[in-house]
Amino acid sequence: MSSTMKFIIGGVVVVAVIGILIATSFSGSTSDYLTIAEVIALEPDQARDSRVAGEIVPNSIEWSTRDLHLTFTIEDETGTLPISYHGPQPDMLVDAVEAVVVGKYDPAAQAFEAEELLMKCPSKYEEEE
Amino acid sequence: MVLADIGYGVLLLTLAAAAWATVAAVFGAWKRRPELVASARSALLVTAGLSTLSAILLLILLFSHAFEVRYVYEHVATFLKPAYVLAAFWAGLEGSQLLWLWMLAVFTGMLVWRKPTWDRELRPWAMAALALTQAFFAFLLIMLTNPYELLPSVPAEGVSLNPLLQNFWMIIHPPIIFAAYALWTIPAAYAFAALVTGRLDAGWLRGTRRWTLAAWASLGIGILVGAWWAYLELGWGGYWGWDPVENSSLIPFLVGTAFVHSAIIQDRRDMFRAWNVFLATLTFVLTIFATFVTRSGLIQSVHAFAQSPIGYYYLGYMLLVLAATIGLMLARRRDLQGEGQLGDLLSREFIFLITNLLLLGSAAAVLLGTLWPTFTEAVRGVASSLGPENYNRFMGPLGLLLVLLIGICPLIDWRKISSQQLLKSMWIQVVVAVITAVLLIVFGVREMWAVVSFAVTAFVATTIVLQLAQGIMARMRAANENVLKATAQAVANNRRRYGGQIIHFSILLIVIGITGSQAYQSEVQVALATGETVDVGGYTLAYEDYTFQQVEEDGNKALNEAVLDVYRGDRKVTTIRPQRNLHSSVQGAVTEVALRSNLKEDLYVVLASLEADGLAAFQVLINPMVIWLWIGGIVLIFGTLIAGWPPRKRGR
Repeated sequence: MSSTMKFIIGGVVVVAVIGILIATSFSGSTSDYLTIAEVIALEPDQARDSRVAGEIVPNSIEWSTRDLHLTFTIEDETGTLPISYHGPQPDMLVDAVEAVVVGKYDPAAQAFEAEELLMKCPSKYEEEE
Repeated sequence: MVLADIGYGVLLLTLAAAAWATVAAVFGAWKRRPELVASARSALLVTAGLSTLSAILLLILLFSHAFEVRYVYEHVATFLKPAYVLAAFWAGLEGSQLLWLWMLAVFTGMLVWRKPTWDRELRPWAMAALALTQAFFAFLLIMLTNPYELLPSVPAEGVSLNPLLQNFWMIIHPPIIFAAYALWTIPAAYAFAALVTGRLDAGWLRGTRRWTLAAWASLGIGILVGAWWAYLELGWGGYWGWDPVENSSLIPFLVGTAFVHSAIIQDRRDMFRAWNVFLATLTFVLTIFATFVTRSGLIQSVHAFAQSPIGYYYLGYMLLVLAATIGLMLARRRDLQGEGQLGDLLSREFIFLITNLLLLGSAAAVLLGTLWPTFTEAVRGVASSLGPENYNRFMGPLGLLLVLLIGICPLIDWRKISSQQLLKSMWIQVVVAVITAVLLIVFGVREMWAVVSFAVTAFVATTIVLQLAQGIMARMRAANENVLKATAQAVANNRRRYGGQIIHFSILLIVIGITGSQAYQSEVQVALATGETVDVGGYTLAYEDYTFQQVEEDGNKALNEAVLDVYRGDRKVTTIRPQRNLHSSVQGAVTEVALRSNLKEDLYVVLASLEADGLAAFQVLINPMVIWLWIGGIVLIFGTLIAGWPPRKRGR
């Protein structure tokens, strides 16, 4: 076998291995962007996290320093969603700001248990990272 | 205002000079008219001067609080500290575009200042590519991102700089990144010149090697500095979140790393000619991809980027550059055939090929991940986002394989090596790696991937040390020198090799930092009243005192601070002051993390909230070995300086 052929076959094998690795990494544990109505309608046994974006309803933010527990409500065109989060308040959490929450909806509590909160920067600042 | 008008006028002149330089360089090279090429060179020295003037004018406007200029109004205020006024220069789109043009013009000026030597034929075409890119940036500044734009009326006070950007590392991070982006233009311009002239031997690679090294190292350091800023300022305890903004600087770094390595193959073995031309161009294209991605609204990011049509101009320029390169490559396909013959599969050439594929594969995967929400929305109607664990799942194994190859590659000869020879030359490394793994398991490390990562690191470190020792001992024997002299001489005589080894060693330090901090982060969230203590990972934190809503910066900042004494056993080690401040320029509180670092771990404390009576909530993290990332960065700079230091004049 010529060495060019060997290189091509070797290269193809390496590329295939990389491709399979990437493909498997992209499946599972991704989170879908859903509207509030969609996340509430989700089957409860859905194991994956969802991402929901919505505006924080004014005067809905409640924070307990004792338990580091944060609750607030977000709304979009499809409805409103109470959010529950354990952990430090994110920076720039204020009324009427657009928030993205990542987590699961709990039908029993009728609230969204967030694992991650992301605030869209409310001012006209552009982040230049 | 006069200064702002002058600034805009200077931009117009810059565009005119850059456009003339492009035309003159092309016709001068094409029609062999040296006086036109000389005119293009003068024009490029003029753009370097003019863009420096633009930058100085913007700085004057910022420091004199000329709030009638929109950019000044939006980014500074009278109460902003002077150091952060400097940061305001590159805090917004307009200023960062000007910074980019300025860097590019200055580096181009440095390049053309010297008379051409090896690049007599290539220089005019490279100048044309650089001038066109400058003209592109100047055009965008004039049409879309004019930093000197005036407001209809003069506001009394400015908005001030986003508090998140008020950090020392944010003063230096953007200039390093944009310097890197500007530097990557130079190898790409020479790749274009090599294609046009057909001089596709390794000459263009050798001639631009130091520019490429500077570009590569600046980009790596810029990414590390950005990570350090995120770690200190964003307050979530991590330094890398796989955000689209972070990814978009990592992608050109990975492709650029592939280019740096495949350039070595062409230099030594005259292979991969087409590959190198393409990679140099692709790295440059990917540096402008970042701006396209973040400004086009194509991807969803937590960073609320102002959408701007500028993204589509970038897309247009990217496509133009890629189309021109691919077209020229097709036209030059005969000249792109190298002389080198492929060796065996067990050869250094093949290891370099795998390295390239791994780097490009990971770059492609990060790119795909960044665009994943856009793709999934187009394909199935629901946008899906990857989490950090998705990225870690491919980047972990690919990264470790790459690191392992650093340790194997020097053991393998060009062309061919037998597997017995290879095994014979690496048994020491294997033994060291196995001992490392066993020791880690004995001492209670249970995360298998961390054990593998440290074992691979030990393997590679052993190779580097053995290679260095062999070089030094050979010299000691041959020249009868002592250890120190032999080391200095060995390094001095082969800077490229030893500089490269030091850079590889710095990568190992970074891998150690990443592995340690990923595997062993521990966290406690607690509410304390003054006088109470909490134990975290061997530290005792005593909450001593607090400051509640102390007014600063002329009423534009309310400082909330907790004072904690940190004990190890009974010994007080330090006092830390995490803050959570309010600023008039943004709504909501902004966290200032308190940090205590040592070689083993970082104690990282976030003030989660503070009430008027002093009740405070804290998030306390122990992040092991993070400091090795930054130490690795310093070693990387050192290695790059050795690798790129000009050789003693000896008429090579």
